[in-house]
Amino acid sequence: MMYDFMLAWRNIRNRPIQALVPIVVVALAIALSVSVIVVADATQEGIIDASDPFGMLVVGRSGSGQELVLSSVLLQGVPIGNIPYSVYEELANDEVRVQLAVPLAFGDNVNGARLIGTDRNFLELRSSQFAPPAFQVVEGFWFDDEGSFEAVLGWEAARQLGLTVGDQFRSIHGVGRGIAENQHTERYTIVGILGRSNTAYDTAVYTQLESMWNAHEHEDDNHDDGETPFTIGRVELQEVGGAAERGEVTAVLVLPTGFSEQIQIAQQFYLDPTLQAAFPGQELSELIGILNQGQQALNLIGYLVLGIAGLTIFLSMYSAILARRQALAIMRSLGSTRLSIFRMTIFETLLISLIGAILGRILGYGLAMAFAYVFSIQNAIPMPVRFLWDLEAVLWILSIGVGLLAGLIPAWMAYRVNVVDNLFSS
Amino acid sequence: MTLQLTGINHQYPSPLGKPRQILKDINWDIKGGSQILLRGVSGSGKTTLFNIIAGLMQPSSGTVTLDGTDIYGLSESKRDRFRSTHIGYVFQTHHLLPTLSARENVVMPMVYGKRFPQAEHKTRAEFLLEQVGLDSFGNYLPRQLSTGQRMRVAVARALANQPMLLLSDEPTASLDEESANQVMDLMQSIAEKEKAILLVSSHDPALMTRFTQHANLAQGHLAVQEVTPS
Repeated sequence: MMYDFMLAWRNIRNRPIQALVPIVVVALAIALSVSVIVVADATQEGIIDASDPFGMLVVGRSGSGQELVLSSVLLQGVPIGNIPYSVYEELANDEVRVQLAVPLAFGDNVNGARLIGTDRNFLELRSSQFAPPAFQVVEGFWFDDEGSFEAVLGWEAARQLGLTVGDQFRSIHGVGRGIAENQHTERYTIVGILGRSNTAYDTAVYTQLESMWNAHEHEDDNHDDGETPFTIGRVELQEVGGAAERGEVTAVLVLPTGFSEQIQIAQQFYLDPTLQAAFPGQELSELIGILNQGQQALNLIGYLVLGIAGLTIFLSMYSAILARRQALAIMRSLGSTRLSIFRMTIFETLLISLIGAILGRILGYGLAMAFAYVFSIQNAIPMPVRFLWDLEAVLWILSIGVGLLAGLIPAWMAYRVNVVDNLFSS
Repeated sequence: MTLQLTGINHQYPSPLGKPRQILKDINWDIKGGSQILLRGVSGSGKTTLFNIIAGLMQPSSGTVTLDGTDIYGLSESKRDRFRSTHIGYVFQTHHLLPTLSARENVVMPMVYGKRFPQAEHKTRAEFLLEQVGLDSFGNYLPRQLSTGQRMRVAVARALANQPMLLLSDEPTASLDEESANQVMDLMQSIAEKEKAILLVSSHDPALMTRFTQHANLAQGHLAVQEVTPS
């Protein structure tokens, strides 16, 4: 059997170009499937990891719960609006039902990095009860809640902005670069830098709520002529939700004291026409569900390409057997059995399929890693690419199945080669 | 050890409807160590007879018995193996496998025949190549060898399993005189040494003096005659 395998390998080496085409097609098919599944897994893991420390509930302006969670947990998209600061105060003072409440005020950015107004409670966020705090100051210190225009940089923000403790910056209106190029006059002083948390919050800059409110008040004072800070020329740029003004926050992250308390709080806000409480887990699960539908569609394409790959192997082997009939007849005349010839042909298609499958894995994981890298840079959500052992069994079975199916007819042709007719044919 | 052909008849289908009888009631006993030249014009059935003897083509009727074994009484797979271990066949065109080196071509019948342990295959192949004067060409692919060298590799391959019957179909047809003599000397000396039957089919007049037994195939009938070397 090993000898048949060696001969199959020799046959492939002897016709590298003809063998390369089906190998490449198999590799592309496997790469497509692998990259889609691995990217989907990494996205899912990335979203789950990135949302881990942010509590069980997010309270914000009524509207789409998914948008609220996306904007306040994953820092994606534009916040849907602001809510009174008193909502936060009520939650923070509700010691019976609320273990932790963290205010978040959005509306400004620092060269594209979101500026988030919050307080010291932010440092209490953690992924589970006994886990260490998700956000820890690694350089300098966290600002004094009573202080003014002090800022702390997220790990990635410090790297991207090239700022460090002691540096100063001026914020710009809007949650993202390009929404409004309207710079505030106040200068923030950086007092600390946070360690890496592997969440989107690594890309943010933090300051006191009071400082954000003050910045916006001064901005309004500077525009007493009636022109809004978001008007450039005659075009008014609409900033969805707007920046949190004095007495407002954009969202409150809430960690209830227990499950029943969590339900109570959710029901309380469910009845409120202007507020909502969204469950990050639920909203993100729905989002992942939508992503999975897309993944399934791409998987179908992957299977289709794999089918085409099988057809390519078949055609390649079919023509190879036609061209090799005399060699097969010689082998038979030297004592090779029909079964041995059949086995050699199947080994050849299997080898083509398996080489393609291995290359496909390398290509697929490479593509997935490249995509994850670009995605994490663009969206600040780390995407952990994992080797999916569960996927291996399916992929190997598929690869072997395709190789076997594609090889059956050519192997049968080889099996039935007429020795005498082909031995003496020119 | 003998080769016995009993009542061999063979016919090919004809487009005109009536089958064409190519071999007619051939009975032939050949003793071990015999060296016989099979003669006949083109189309007389020499190659058909060789293929039948080699177990590659079942005759329309009759039996072929080699060393007491009815070749066509064996299953196909057993016959394949029997051919590998008992019969060496040198074809008119060398029929070396182009993807394998000279040594690997010689090893192939040993792998299928399983007469020698696997560990000995390489050594034996090198020994056989040395016998045919190609000891330094083991790693060469057939396309890197001359026509005469290829034929010598084919002879070495045919001898791989120490066959008791060596068939050679028009061995000199594609060779120059010098190469033809080398190949014939080689086959005859090795067959003599191994006490194997050597059957050579040819209509090359130059070979006539090399054999004391001639078998003439004409009109489907075989006539064997002893000749005196000139």
